[in-house]
Amino acid sequence: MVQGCLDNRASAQEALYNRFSPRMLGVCYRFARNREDAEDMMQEGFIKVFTQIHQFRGQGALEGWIRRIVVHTCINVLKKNKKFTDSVDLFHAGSMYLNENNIPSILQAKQVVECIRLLPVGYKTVLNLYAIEGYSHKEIGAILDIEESTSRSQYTRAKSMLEDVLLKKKILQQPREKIKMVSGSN
Amino acid sequence: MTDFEQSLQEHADNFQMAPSKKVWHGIYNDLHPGKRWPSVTMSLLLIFTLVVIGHLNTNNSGRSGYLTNKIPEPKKSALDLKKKGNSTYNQRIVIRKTDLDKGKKVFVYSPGRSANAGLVKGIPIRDHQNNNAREDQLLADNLQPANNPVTFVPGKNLILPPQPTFSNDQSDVTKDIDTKETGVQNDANSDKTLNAILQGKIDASRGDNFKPTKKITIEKKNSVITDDAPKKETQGAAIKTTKLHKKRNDKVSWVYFGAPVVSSVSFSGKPLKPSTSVSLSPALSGNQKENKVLHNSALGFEAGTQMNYSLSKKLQFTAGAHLTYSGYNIISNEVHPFFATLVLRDPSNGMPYSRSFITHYGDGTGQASVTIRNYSWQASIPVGLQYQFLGNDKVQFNIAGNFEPSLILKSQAYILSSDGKNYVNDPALMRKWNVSSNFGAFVGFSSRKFKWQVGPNVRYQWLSTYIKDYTIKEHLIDYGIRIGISK
Repeated sequence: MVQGCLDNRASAQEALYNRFSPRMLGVCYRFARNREDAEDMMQEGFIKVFTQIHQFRGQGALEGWIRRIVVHTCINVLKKNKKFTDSVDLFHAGSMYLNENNIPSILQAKQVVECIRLLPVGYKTVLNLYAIEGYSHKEIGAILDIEESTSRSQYTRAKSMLEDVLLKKKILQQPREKIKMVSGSN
Repeated sequence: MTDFEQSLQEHADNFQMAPSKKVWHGIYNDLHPGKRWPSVTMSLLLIFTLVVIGHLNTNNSGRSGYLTNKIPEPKKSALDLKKKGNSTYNQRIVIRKTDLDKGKKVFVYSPGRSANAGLVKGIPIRDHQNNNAREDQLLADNLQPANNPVTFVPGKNLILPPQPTFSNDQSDVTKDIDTKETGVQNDANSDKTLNAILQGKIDASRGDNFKPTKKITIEKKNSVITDDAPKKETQGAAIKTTKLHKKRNDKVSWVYFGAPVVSSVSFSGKPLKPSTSVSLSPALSGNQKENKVLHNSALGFEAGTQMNYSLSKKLQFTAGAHLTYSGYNIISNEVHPFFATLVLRDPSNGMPYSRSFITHYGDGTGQASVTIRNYSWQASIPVGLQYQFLGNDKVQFNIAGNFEPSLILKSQAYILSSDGKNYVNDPALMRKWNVSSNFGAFVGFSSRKFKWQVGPNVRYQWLSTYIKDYTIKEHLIDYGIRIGISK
């Protein structure tokens, strides 16, 4: 499949796309404001994947390599649209009110993602990068052009806000100190 | 990594979404710009086919230099159809007048017919399969009027007598000859009769099969071949039917039109204010302001086809199918996700109730201004009248109006929350159908091939965009310039 992509064969590219696109769209959806934005981000990300696939050494998992490209694409799109920089400050966060009734009751994975998406752009970006994508605060600072300490503080507040929502939705169990997700759907 | 983060990661990783096909199409087109997606090719092929068909139809109907005098085919009775070998049909023969003048031979390809299927004033029309001189002679004897002799040379084609001179030498004459009316029998019957005549069993001058029932002459003045033979009843009936059919076709015309429109909106009604009986977030209390939607007009379009049926010389009934895209822009501002409430009223009992929303859009008074669009795609079936109040054959001035029951195909509407601070989007509040009216005046004029219509048009939506639960009524108004074309 990778060799076919290196040869610029459409069939191989489509096979790779079909295999990884559902998960990558889930990644983009966590960063984006809506599904259309997420699809745009993923499209841009996969174009980069196919045009830069010669840089893939085969040393790690292909999915991980694609995922990093897609995540960076999402960050670049947010930066380009100034949506990230406009809302990275925490000014509005204190007065923000999240209504747990608006979280759709479908599968738990989707519920969690929808809860993350309710957060302000700055919060959810840091939370996505640190808690889910596994970047360090130092790396996040470099990616987002912010201080490492800012990344830490944003993450702390994002986490607190997300916990509140998840607790109200009963996706999380008390006590907060030993938080553990409730398994299964709600 | 804490348990929270680990659990979060697991749940997030399990989340997958099915992308729409357009994403792959976009990627494909970007990676392979030379190989556009097959739909583009198919679209081009379809357009090309339509153009070719349209071009061919135009050429067939609009060929100049030929005069057409088509004799309609008589209606066949059931008895006629049962008769073996008595197949009557028309054949169109195109004869250049210059050929007539010069006495040239005219050949007609008539597969399945016996020899000498048709003869126009002594011009032998020779079948490619059977050029028998004897047959030529016999037919010439029978078909040629006595005062217009035809010279016949055995083994060769007929030598024509002098033909009338036409005033317009460059024009052509088209003539349909009914094989029945020229007295020529077809197929086996014809051959049998011919043999009988040759053997002296049947008097050629008496034979009904060869008796000319139609005398064809060519008039000098108008250069049109006319039929002087007595009209049969069936033929008369057929002509009458054709005339009626043509008359009916003349009454109906089709117009295809498009119109860029500028959409505006009018609001009426009062919003329901949050009351103590309705549970609201503390953030919404106080600072209530009058609901006012800051909006701008936006461009849309209307396209469709319209059938015009003439009720009288100046009045036409119109019906058709329209597709309309219209909407307007709302000036909003991005806010952090915010809890907003909409107070609605149950139309069945009049009791208020509320719905809550998370929204990103403020009322447009804050910073980070953004524009959001309310729009709708509507398919409608208009029914109306059109009246020509002035004009002549070249230019006409008309007024038109209609009612349009419309189906809302797709729509998006942001509604101001009850406290007037935010816009919320709830598709459930949208009507699935509506009724609109079009009023317009237009000028119609004829070009070489088409008739054109241009004029202003106003479309008003009678029913509110929203269902009765929402107390604010919104009426869309579209102003456009309609451009129509018909043949």
